[in-house]
Amino acid sequence: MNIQGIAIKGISATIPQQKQDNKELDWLDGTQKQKFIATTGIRFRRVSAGETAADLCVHAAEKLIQNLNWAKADIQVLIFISQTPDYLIPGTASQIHHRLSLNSNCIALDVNQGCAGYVYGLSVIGSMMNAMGLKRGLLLVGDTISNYISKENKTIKPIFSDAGTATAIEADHGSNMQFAFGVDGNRFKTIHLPKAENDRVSDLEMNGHDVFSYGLKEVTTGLNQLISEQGGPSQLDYLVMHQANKLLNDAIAKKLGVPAKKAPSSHYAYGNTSSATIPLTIAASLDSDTFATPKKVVLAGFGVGLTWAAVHTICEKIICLPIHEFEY
Amino acid sequence: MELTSESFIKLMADQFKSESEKIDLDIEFRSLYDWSSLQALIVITAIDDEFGVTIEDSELRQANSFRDLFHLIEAKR
Repeated sequence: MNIQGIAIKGISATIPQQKQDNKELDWLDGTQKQKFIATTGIRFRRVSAGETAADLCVHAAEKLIQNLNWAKADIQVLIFISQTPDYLIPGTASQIHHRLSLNSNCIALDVNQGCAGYVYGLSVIGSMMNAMGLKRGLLLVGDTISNYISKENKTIKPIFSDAGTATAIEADHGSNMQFAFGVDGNRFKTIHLPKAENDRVSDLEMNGHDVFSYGLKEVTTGLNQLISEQGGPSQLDYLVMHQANKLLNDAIAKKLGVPAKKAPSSHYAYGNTSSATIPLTIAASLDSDTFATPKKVVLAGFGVGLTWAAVHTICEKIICLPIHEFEY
Repeated sequence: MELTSESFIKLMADQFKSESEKIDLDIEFRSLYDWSSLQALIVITAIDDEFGVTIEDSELRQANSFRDLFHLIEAKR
């Protein structure tokens, strides 16, 4: 599954200002907190104080467009990937399109995807641009999952965090992306937001064990095949994974034979930001200098669905902005 | 790693550090102080890494003692 002639040109990420510390969780004792942080790798989380995924993505997009010096009129497609849209009806992409003042002759589309959403998004925008001969597009990926986790939800609350990201995509004749996907819809309730009933607000449910067994088996098998097809782990510069948690990510990297220095993480400072983890981790761990020379990367998302998606590509001359805090 | 009752108990003792001296095949792992949903993930990840067997949630629910878990790994190898 290849898409040719489309490349990533820039990445930007925005996080809420509100910061929560897992060392301050009042339902765990000191030893339990220490064990939680050491195992999951998650110390701090950024939590929405009312700003939405769309707000965070618009902020990230404005910074990126400005730094790339793109003319907004040149942007021909906008894809918004999120599980936390502003409204069920209408989709959020048209609102974002308006807020960014893009050209009216533009495609604007929402896609509901989570942990694998960034890679899904690259495949959607890349396919459309390739098929229609478009030159420039924006992929906005983000979630404010904290709005769907109650303070009583003690197993899930210390994991999830909020962020919005923007990725600039451009036609580039020399570029090539190789994709791989997997779905196990039989386990669709593994990570699940039940419908709200009466006055009860929905609260996210997750079977962590099922996520782990999916990660250790199906995801690892699929990634192993993709990486093998590209010459094996020694040929890779970076494997940027969805930041589920340290325990699972380290286990997957070890099974794949990818050393820790090639698998950057952002758990400690930013938690699991759902769909935003891959571009957020790139922004947190890498920079424009990293991509001054070509880098072979595999980006891999896995989780909600259950789904996984991975892409191999060579990244070069990417404008990679430092993470911004949302400005109210 | 070769799967023997000794190698399995050693691996489990490494995962329940504060109670390692208590670990034997007859112990019900959910009775240990360290047991939690997080500890379950630590245990299945260690088993996957050392013995190449992925324990599913539904399988773990059927197991009570370390012996049950040991037999489960044996059956799946």
